[in-house]
Amino acid sequence: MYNLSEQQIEYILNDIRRNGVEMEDLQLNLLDHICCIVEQNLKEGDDFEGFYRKTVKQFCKHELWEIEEETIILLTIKNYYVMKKSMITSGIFSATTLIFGSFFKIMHWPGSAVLLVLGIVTLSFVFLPLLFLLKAKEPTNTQSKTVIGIGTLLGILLCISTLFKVMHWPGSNILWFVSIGFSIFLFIPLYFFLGIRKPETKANTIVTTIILVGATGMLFTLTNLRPSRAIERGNFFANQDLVATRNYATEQNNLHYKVLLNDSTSAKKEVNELRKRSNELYKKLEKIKLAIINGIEERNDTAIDYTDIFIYNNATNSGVPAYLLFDNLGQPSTLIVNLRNEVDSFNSFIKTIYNKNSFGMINTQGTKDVNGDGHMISWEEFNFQEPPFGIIIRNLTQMQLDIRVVEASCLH
Amino acid sequence: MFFSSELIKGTLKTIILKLLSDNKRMYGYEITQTVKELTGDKIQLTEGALYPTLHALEAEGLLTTETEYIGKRVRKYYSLSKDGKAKSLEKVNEFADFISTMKFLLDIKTKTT
Repeated sequence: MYNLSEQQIEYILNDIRRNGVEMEDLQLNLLDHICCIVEQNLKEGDDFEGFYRKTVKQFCKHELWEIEEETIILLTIKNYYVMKKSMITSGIFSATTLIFGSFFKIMHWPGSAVLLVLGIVTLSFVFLPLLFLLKAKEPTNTQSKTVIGIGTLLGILLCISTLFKVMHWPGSNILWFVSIGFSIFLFIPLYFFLGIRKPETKANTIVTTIILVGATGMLFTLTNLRPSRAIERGNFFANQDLVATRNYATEQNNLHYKVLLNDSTSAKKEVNELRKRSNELYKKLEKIKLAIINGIEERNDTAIDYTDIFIYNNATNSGVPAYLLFDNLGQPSTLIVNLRNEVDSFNSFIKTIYNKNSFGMINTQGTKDVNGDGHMISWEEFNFQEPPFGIIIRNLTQMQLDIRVVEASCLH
Repeated sequence: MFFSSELIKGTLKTIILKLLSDNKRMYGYEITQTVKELTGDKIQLTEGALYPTLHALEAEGLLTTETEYIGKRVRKYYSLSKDGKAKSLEKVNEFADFISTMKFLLDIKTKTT
């Protein structure tokens, strides 16, 4: 048996490393293996280096690093199947949740938000990255890989901005424009110019590019979708009229208060209470309007300028932040719930003190869905969920006017 | 006569698993030598096929390893894990079935008949 010196072992190990074997495990395995062969087959005094060279040559077809490459391929092939399976599973899962989520959303059923978020997050953070990794593994050149990578990124961006839009999360508009810009200025040109150069992909590239430009154009059109200008203007002027009437009624009531409070025969305590409660509710309504306008326009105004038509421009109902009116589960926000409670308490005060029936109070009944299946639409939904932004503001002004009318009927 | 490397490639996992189920633990060189002896030099495993397969089997959780120092160098012993034992049986049975199917398919007359 041949006795290997430490220098010889070191020599073998260095040679293994030099030949491109980087996995330490594999280095040590090969080292032991070669040492065994040398010990078994070489006699003292034989040519160590020559024998070593001859032995290693038999290990693989050309070079030692092929063993490492083969190992890596075997190790990743297993991952490949797991990845492919996860990709298909996550794809089916996100498609199903997205379909159900959109359907729930259209039907105003609870749970749509959870389904949509789950679907979009799975799609953009599990399915698309896996798809990219699997596609990138295929033997293509770096240019195609870049296009696939950028395409995946674009897909993720579009998914996320859709999610932000649907959920009315802040920043959705910026994300949306970034995605569309990304598509028009980066992805489509890159795809087009790389594909057109190769004769075998030329025809396909032209057709796909036209489809891509068309699709992006349609998405861009969707961005600007909002109620027609005529409706916006109509709402604006209707609201302005209501504000004028409201202000006039307020003045008239104040005159009545003055007279009543100077009259020694009137019940001053009740009158004062009526005035206090009316003004509180009135101010609350004004605050809600301000919160909505500031929320949409991302402003920090302290009072509403009713002569400013630009408040209504660029504002769609979908721009109202969810926490202001209705949350993503279709439930009225705390702002609306509190308002309802205060309106109810105002009504019960009017009923007990002034003995009014429901005609003399603020209407909190809903309305029948006459165009649909005839179910009752609640006061909250009717005023705050269904109508576009401009009408929500108008409805709130109408309620302020209602307060003044109720007050007036009590004061006479 | 040597068998072609394509033939061996498809059965390498089965060979390794079976050898390890018969011998408690083995290292790479030992595996090649045992196969060589048992087959009368007919099957010679190349290192370029053996080690990648050993690493893959280890990654699949079918093999467990222990290392021992032989002087300055390290020797890695392989043995079957619990899953590996089951897999070994499955692979050998599958291959036996394969052989009888191939016999039938290629209409091979065995020497005894």
